[in-house]
Amino acid sequence: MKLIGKYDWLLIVFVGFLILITLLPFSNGSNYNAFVYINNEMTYKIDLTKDGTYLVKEHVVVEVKDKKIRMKESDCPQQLCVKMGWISTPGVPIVCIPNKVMIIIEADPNNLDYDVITQ
Amino acid sequence: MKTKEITLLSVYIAMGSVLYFLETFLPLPSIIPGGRWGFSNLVLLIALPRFSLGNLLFIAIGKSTIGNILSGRLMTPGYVMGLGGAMVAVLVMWSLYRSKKDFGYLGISLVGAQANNFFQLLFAGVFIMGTFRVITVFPYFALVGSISAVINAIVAHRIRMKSGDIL
Repeated sequence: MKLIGKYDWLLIVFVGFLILITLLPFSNGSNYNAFVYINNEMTYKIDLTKDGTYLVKEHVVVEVKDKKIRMKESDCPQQLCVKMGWISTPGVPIVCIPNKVMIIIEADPNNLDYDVITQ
Repeated sequence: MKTKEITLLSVYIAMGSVLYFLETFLPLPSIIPGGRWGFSNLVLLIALPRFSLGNLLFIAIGKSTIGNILSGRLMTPGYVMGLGGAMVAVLVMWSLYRSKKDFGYLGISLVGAQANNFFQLLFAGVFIMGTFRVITVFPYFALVGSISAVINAIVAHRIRMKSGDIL
């Protein structure tokens, strides 16, 4: 087998296309709400314009500052959610698998630059 | 012939397990929680032109299982994800190789790595989190996976060229 075959460009284009498609949901609106899901149920809606810290579950603390949100404290073993740091845009959620907590930022549907979003 | 096959399979599984274990020490760019580089896929690439689908799957299962025993994570969700991902990667790479089209190591390695990533994220999404939203981190995994996939392809090609009938 050769290092680079005749049709390898097809596979490379396909992979690039896959990456682009999964990047698409990123948007740059200005007014965001963060939603905290616990056990996959939407439990809290947090306004990102107000600074503060919230205890969303036992040993799980979420902090909001300057329209950004982060996992401040968690009792999970690897602390991956805490190490993710601040997020401020939709796209990459903060996920804590051991605690089954997920923080997702979504644009406020009443305060968007668009007329309609199809889903 | 049978003895040679057993010996070869053992060598491949041994190499794969060690790579799988050693890559847990390599640091990853910090935006990605809980990912890995995927250098153990190298063994499957070298083995691809030589073995049947069954033997390739056997190498994939062997390297994931022994690699996870070594790092002490057998039967964790990470083990099931790594095992499934490696098997899906084998299926995809084998079908591409057997399609008789002119695919090289580079393309097959890239698609295999992405198939592995995609399956693992899908598995984490459906069985652990219960939602498909986890797929939004796919681009980051895909970029890191592509770097190691290109390195894997170059190394696998060189080893395949130089080793001839030995490996």
